[in-house]
Amino acid sequence: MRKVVTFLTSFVFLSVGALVFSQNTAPRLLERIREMPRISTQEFQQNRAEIQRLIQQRQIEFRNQIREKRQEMKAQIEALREQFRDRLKARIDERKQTIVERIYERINALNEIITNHYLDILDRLEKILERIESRTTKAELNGIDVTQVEAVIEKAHQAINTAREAVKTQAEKIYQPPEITSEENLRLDVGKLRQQLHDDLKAVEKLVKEARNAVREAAVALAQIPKVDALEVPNTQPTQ
Amino acid sequence: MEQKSEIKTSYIFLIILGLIALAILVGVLYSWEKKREVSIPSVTPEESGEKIAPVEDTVLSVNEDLEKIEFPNLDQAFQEIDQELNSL
Repeated sequence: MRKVVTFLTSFVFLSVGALVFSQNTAPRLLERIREMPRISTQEFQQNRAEIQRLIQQRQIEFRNQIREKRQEMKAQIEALREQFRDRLKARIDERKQTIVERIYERINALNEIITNHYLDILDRLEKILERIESRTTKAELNGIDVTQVEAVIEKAHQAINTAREAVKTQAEKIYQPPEITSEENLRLDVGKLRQQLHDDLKAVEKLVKEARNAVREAAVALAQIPKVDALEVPNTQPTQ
Repeated sequence: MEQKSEIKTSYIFLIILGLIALAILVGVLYSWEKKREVSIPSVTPEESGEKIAPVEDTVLSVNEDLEKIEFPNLDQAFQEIDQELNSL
């Protein structure tokens, strides 16, 4: 009985995992072309254009999800700011109060600006990776073994997905107002919040840089194929 | 009597778990099939009339674009906040 329950529970988790994975992976040109027995240059370009369109669509949907979440967050941040203002009024002078409020506002705004920048980078990396995959597919169509390049491309896709999820989590983060212990400790207390954002962004930046390096490695692996830039889709008639 | 009731409960539990697993399996297959429909249509030139504008896919152009990627300078981005902090 216990074995059956364990099996079923594992099955449920694996199924959910498969579902999540199937929705998070980017469309792949290599996989698509492999399903076609023969392909003309025109068909190759059409399929590539379609993959590019799907990648872009996926990127837009991802940004829309974040945008919607941010819209919801705006009201929450505003409420936190109001509460913070009330708390500050009783403890510090007006000039310092204005500065602290401005810093708090900038913390959340800066998070949005930098995470947007990271998203731009990841979108560009994904498009570059599609180009690497396109050239790899051409090599395969010319009978070249691309197993190694394909493995590095897969790693790069994974690195981009990991970084993308990290950027999303960071973009959807709301920074709580700092805990003010005393007017003398004001700089220290507010500084902690600044440091927190800095550390969080550094951690995300590390993942985005790893994704960039993974794409670079894919480009290096592709360049190992002799005269790869000269390879084109072999001449065949369009499939009927 | 009590043992019978226990066996019955175990069976019901098993059936419920089985149904959940089946529902998830159907969901996964449906989602996979839908994804296939969206992402793997064999597009032929006749079906699509749109102009194709392929992006350059040479290693040279790829490397050039990789080099163009710039990361924001975090210390510079924090400069305004740091100035405000120093005025406290």
